[in-house]
Amino acid sequence: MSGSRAPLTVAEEIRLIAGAKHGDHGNFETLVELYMGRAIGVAMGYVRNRHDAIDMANDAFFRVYKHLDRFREGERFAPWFFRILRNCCLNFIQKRSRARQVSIHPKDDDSLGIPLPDDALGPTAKAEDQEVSRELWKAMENLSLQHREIILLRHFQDLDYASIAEVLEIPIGTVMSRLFHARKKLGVLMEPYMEGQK
Amino acid sequence: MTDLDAPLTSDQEKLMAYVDDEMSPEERTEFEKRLAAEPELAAESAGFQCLTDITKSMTLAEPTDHEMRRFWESFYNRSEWQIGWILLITGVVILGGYGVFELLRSGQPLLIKIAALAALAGGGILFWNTLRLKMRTSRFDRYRGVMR
Repeated sequence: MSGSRAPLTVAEEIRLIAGAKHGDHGNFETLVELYMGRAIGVAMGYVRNRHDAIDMANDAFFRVYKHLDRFREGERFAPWFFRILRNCCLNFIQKRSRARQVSIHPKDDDSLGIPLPDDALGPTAKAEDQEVSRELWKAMENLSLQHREIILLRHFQDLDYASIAEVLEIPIGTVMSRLFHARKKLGVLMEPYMEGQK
Repeated sequence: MTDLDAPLTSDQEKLMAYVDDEMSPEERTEFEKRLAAEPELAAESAGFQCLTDITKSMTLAEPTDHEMRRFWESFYNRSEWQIGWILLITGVVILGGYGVFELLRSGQPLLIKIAALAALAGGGILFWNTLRLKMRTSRFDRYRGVMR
């Protein structure tokens, strides 16, 4: 069972969550499958390695499972879920920095988390895109945590301003300005690759 | 507010709303007219659009079957672990309380009472210390999934 599934309509998602809330475990499993890939992607932006990112997804889904009764039906699930996931990641980073003040390990390997180019592309384009993808991820690594998270939420999770504001618990105006500055920085880092795309 | 969130000019706000499709159709048409007339604004918009196109062509790697299996195993382990601990701690607190109560009102010599309470308290402290250390470090143990 892999995490890839066709996205649901809003109505389908509401029905799914309502079912999970009323104890239908199958509905909860479907919800996990739907959000697992996205959750790992966002968590990678914080914890920077896939193994911990899966643990973070696990933490977040566990909290969702325990507190599903607090979720108001009809509300959008994604912002609620990503807010929980973000809190899990920030807690983890804080604890990890305390636990690993002196580390004998090299930097975590992020290679498994590199975003993959779209499947619709041909093999040559794919190879070129793989390089762009790697560079993009490297550039993301050089952004601050706040910039990286906002780029992930907007560009990879396709959340609108209102949802991002809900996840990050900041006003919409701040979402716009932070995203603007994050894009500017990412644009500078990605300049050689953007030239080719223009 | 930090430098990170430095406020935007009205044009920059419009540019963001345009790139992110957060404009009404009328505002959009109006802004496109400006883009056609102002090359600097158009270049900035093209830069943002290009970044969007690059990221849109990427998809994040989906979890493998193995990762999903690991996820569900850990998920169910956690649920059982949590229930187990709640039951164990509840039992220990009730039995310990009852034991202390019975010990205090028993006719045992004072020295035996003190020794029993000290042993109980020492055991409790050592148990809590080991548990706390384990909880603090186990999540960051890179080899926790490795069979020894």
